[in-house]
Amino acid sequence: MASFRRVLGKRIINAFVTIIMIMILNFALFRIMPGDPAALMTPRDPRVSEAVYWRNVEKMGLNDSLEMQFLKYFIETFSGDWGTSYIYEKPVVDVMGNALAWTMLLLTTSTALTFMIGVALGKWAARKRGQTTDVAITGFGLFFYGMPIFWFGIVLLVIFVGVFHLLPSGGYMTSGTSPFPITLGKIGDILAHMILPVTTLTIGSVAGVVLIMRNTLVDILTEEYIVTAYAKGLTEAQVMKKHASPNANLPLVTMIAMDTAFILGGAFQIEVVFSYKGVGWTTIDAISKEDFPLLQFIFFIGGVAVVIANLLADLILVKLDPRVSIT
Amino acid sequence: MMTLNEVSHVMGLKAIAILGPTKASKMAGSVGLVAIICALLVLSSVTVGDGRETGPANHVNVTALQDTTPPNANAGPDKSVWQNLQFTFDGSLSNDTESGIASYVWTFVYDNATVTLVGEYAQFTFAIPGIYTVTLNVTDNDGNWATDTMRLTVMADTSRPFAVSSAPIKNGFPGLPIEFNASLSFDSTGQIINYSWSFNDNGPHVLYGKVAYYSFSQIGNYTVVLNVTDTGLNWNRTTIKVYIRADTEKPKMPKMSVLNKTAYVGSRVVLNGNPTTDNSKVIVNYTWSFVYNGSEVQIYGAITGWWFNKSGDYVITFSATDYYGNSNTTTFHVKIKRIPTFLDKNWPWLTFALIIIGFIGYESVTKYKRDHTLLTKTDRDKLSLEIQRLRKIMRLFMATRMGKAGMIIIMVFVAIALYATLLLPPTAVSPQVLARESWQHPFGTDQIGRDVLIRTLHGSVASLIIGFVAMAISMIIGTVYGLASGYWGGWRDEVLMRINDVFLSIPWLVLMIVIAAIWGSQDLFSVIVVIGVTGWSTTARIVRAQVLSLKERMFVERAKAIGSGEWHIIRTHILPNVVPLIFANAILTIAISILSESTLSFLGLGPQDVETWGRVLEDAYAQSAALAGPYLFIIMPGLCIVIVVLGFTFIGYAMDEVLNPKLRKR
Repeated sequence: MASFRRVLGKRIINAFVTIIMIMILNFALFRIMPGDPAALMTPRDPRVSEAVYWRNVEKMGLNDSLEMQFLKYFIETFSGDWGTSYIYEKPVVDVMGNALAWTMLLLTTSTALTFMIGVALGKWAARKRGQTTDVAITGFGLFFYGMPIFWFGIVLLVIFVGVFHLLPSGGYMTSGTSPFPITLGKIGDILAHMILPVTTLTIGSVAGVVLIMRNTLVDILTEEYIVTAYAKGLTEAQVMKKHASPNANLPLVTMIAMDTAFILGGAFQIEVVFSYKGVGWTTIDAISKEDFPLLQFIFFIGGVAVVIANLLADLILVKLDPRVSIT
Repeated sequence: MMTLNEVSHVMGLKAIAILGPTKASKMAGSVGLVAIICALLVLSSVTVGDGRETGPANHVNVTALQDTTPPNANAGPDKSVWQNLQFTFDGSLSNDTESGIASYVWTFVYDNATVTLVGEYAQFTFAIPGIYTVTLNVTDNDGNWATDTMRLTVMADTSRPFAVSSAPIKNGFPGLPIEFNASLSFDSTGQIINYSWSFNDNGPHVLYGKVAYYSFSQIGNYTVVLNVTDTGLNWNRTTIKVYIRADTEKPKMPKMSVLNKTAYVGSRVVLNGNPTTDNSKVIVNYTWSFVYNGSEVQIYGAITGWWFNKSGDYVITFSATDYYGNSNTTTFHVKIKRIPTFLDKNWPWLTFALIIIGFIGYESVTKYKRDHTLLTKTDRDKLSLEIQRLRKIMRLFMATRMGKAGMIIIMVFVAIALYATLLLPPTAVSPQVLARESWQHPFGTDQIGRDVLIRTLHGSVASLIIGFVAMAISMIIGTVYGLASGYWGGWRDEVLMRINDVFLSIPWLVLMIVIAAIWGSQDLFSVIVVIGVTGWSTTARIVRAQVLSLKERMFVERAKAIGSGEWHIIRTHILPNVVPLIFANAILTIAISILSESTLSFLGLGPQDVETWGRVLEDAYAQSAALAGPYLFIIMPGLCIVIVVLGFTFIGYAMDEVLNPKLRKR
């Protein structure tokens, strides 16, 4: 138990250090950009630019030394002052709060589906290894693994919206409506808008889970202790449940953590394709409108999200696998 | 307050009632002023006081501002004017300081009768010369009035004007209008008020105005009379001789060198007949005829154009016809050239490069042959063993289904890329925009009429280049980083790994987007660097893990024991053992880099200077080809990405199986 606590401590410290370094990178990136950082943070609007520019010079402390600037940025980040988006003219937290909720809805649904389908298919392929089923599943897995996810989204858009007119084409709900107060009809509307993005995201990322699950299980199923289990007279289902699956879960958990960044990237593309106004859509919008305060915040929050996901995965791993030793 | 207010009001009214309107206005300086001051006092006290209480009082205040000052009348300075010309009286210098002027009345005696005119700007035409005294009476809105007088001298015009035409002799053609211009006519006293032109070719006909246009229908000699009349109704005339002749002169065609054109296949050549001139200045018909695609083509118009989608030398006959049917013809050449390919443009360099490569190759082969004779038996054995090992790996690799399929896919695409680079010209623009698939355009056309198939073929080049170069960058950074981190160990490892954590943590797409946005210029080079710089972190991890285990192995210990340098150990003992591991990883990195490029392009951050599949997809999505109809526009480039990525993934997996035999038992 003592070693578990030490591992936990080290992990948390590492995560903290990583977050600090993300902040340094974030601080540096928006200052090594060519040109004046205060001008970059000022909207290109002649009515406001002069006053806002000087306020930004003041706020970013461009007259201070570099260390003082970083210290200021550091304190502001931890006190929750993340600047004001100038396309929305509100604090970036308010802008992203709403977007984040929609992205989380999309991500949690598709991640849950991904793992349910992926694990099931991976297990099936491993059990039938070398047979047609395995080849088919692995083949499909590889096909979808190497597919630009945005392209798949567009293809689905062609089929279900362009040809058959079955589903709404974009947005998280019918435009002009607000999710509150919640009614049954609105939930149905939100679900209808979610079908295509969730399907795309799930199929796009299920391939990775299927492949890793299959490969791990195939490795495990050729181990001697599995042969022993069979020799004991256990059925295939029992061997799978008691001996193979618990060991196959370990790399899967690692993969979830490693893939968080990848899944986020996928969500970005999907949101753009389906005009789903979540974090990704807002980011691309911020880039095209050069809303740098918003961009800086997204950069920070994205990194922190992945660090936390990795930390959680590590902790789960430590809990799941007593042998795990951390270097 | 109410009482004071009422008092001031009553005071003003009383003043008017007692003294009458005329006298009251004369006393304006005293009583009026007092009333105004009173009113202002009340107004200020009302404003300062409680508004709710004194609400109704505000209404009374308005009437308290009674205007008792007369207006200031001003009829303007004395003036003179020619008889029979309209004169405008100007009363605008009059003013009233308070309520404004309500009416202007002008009175004067003309022809023994009193004439009364109303208005700030009144108009009158004096026919009788003489000196007139004009009185202006101005009344303001409160009935106060004032008067002013001016003297107007109306001058008699007795001298005759001069009638002058711009050209005394004119030449023309039947049916076409001729311009007659009398603007050089003048009058020394007064002004010319009327111009009339008399024509007598088809019975008498008169036109009026300084400039007149007239067309004679018949050939012949005519005399046109210009008659001018001035303000004193004095007149004068002049004659203009007009010679109408038949037009037998042909239009003058532009020179061949002006018309000749050279263009590339797939462009619209503009045919411009405007340089053609004619003496009658009227060309009624332009005809362009030529043979295109085996059939006779005739198009009309001064400026027209034709899409040429086939190369060749087209002889175009151009004819122009004037109003009288005189026509002229000329021929010229339109040369339509094939769009040059990369090979067409760069063949001297390519030949030069091939010669150099051939020379170096020949030199190295001869050198190898010479050296080979000097090799010892052990060296030769070592070499043959190495070759045998490579052959075995290749055989094992090609024995796997995945390896074979992957190799075939990649070789096909490399062949396509080579063909597209060297032999395929860039696609031309055609008038068919966003067309569905057809034999002419198997994948349809894009938003400006380019062939999607040709764009897709061209896209393979940049996609493969991006894949390989970005992979090389990622691998070099990742390997060096992993080697350093793993071999050094300790605190340096810790620092390097934390930095690596940052790169693993930041969502790659966001990092890429931010760097691409910061970088600004979106060319092939910058996109490659962005992809390469963001893709090394996994490789660094893999290399580090391998180095950590290799470092503890016996052969490294032995090498250290016999005093090998660090650099030597890394180069000869560690690196060769790391390479097989990262080789498979490198192949997969190519696939990921190609995917990254397509994503960046789709988000509008791809290279703008070369064709890539991502750009084609971006265009397709921007044009909503998804919903509009040319489905292949969106499906084919994406399918190419999927197949190439699949090819590299196959090779990567097969390599992994062959190079890391631990897995081979599967």
